[in-house]
Amino acid sequence: MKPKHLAWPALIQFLWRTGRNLVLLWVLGFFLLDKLATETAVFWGLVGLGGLTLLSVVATGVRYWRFTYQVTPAGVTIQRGLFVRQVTHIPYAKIQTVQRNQWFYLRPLHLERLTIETAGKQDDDGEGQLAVVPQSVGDLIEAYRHGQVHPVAALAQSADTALSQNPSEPRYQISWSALNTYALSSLGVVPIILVLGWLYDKLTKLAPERTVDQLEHQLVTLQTGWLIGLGVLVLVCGLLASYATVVQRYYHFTLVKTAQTLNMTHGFFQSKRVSLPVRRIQAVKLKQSILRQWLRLTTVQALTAGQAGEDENDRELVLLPVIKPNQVDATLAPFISWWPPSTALIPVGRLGCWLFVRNSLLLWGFGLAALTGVVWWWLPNLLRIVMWCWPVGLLIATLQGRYAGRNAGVALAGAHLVLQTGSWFTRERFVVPRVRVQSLEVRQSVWLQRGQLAHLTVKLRAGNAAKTVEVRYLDRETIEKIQRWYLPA
Amino acid sequence: MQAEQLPRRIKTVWCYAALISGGVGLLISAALWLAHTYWHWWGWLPVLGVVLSLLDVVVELGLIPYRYAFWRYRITENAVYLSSGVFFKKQVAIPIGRIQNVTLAAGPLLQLVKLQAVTVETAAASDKIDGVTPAVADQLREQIIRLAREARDEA
Repeated sequence: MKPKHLAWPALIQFLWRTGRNLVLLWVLGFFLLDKLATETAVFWGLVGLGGLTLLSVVATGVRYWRFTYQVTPAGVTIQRGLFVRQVTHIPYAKIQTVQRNQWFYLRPLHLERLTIETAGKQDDDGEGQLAVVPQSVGDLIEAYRHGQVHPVAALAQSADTALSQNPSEPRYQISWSALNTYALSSLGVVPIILVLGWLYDKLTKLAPERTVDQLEHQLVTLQTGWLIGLGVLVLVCGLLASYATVVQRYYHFTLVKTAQTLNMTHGFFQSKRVSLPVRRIQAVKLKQSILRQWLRLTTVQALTAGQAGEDENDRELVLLPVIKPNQVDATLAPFISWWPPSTALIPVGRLGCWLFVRNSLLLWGFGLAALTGVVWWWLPNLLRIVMWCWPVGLLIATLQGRYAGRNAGVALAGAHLVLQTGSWFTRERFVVPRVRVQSLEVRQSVWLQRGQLAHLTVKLRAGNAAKTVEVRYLDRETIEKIQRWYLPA
Repeated sequence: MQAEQLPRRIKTVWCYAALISGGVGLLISAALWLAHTYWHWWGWLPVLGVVLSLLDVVVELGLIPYRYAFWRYRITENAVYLSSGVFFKKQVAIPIGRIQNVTLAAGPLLQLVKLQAVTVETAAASDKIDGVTPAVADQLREQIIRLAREARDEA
């Protein structure tokens, strides 16, 4: 294949992005021009702005023109830059994940965005980002990756790869009801309210002060009932938006395994396809918030080296958005060949549990004391309210500590280590193959020595950095067992 | 290989490091005193600065013998073990096969007493042996790299 330019909609995308920055520049420019006194100054200011605009448009054009990519049997080569020529070569063996994003408007044109990721620690966008290319490019890369020598012929046989596969291959598709419960139990409301608050903040900064004053005056004069109504409306909007976002993102979530590679497809407006070789998985994480624990639901994620998960939840790839805990083993085993059968956890002892509660009480206690101090100093008339916070805060602290203590634990399942933690009312269970544990750390203070307890820290690779999982207050005997398992003498 | 202690000279390095950190603290206190004289900042700030700096030096110096006594490293056929800490003990185990690279480095203080720090890096984290003699450092590096290569060849 010869070096190729990106498809033409990429130019529009680049220009759109430049345009967005230019709008900011123009708004800023006009604010500044407004302050200038003489007409000549304004004239030259305008000329400067015009020049900058022209320059950035030309630069965008040049960027598009100089960006080429080439898919060869040896790897993918990307060339870019005018003055500094940059050539990135990615061999297939080094590719961690290939991520394919297709916005709905690119669907009729059979175009998509390709992100090729390796374990290298380079820039934020992954190493090979092809903004808009034909779908056939992605298919070709996938075919080469799976070791097909004549991929073009192979591709001609199976027009649509990922989904219309051999029926005997493991396949999981999210059901509508599961997606529904997942979206409903997503705790994504809080960030949305924060965004609305931020928007309000921005609007008040942008809009002339008089309008805001009037608005605030009106808000104050509105009846309290109206205000509550408004609050409820914002909340409902937030809930709906959160619901819609999750449904959009995981719409038709499908997981298919072909030739030791997991393929995830999902999304309504923007359909996403990620392929991940099973051997690249660093660890599997099962995550449950307390709400999902009550609903008996869990989310399964994969930790990988690379950045495929960057914009997903917690930078980790979702393997199964929502599933009943008792079905995890049966569902996951066909996809991940090394998945160990579930093993009973060795929990934290009674002393450990108490220490969790004590820490939580101390933490909350300090926070509340600081708050009380501040209020007592500056707003003494609100002291009564703060006093009410104490029992509530300490109750939450106790519950949180108890939750953490009850959920912490470890287990050994053959060549796999299972670690479970419960912090902030969210339970996380990691299943890690021994070869993926980068290092094992044991920490013990002199005070813990008496109770024969210690903390176990496991270092893993996830995304572009280290992922540290710490299980606290395990008894010494259990830890020694894990140490022997990790490095037999 | 038995668990090794760091060379005795490392105590000198720690000693200098403690004095330098105390010196920096005193400099900051002096700056605070100037701020108090010229801009009428709180008068107790420089006093607090001096007290904290002196306390820092005393505690650090006092802990050096213990820190030295508890620091151990061991390199076997298949792993690197480090253990350190007086009140907060820390034990790290790194299998040779997971080691990505080994870095030897020596700052001015380490150079003064002819020692080198060895940093062992895995894909996820890095751990440091505070200081060893150059001969041991080279030997360690060779050993770790050789064992890492063997481990990888077997895998």
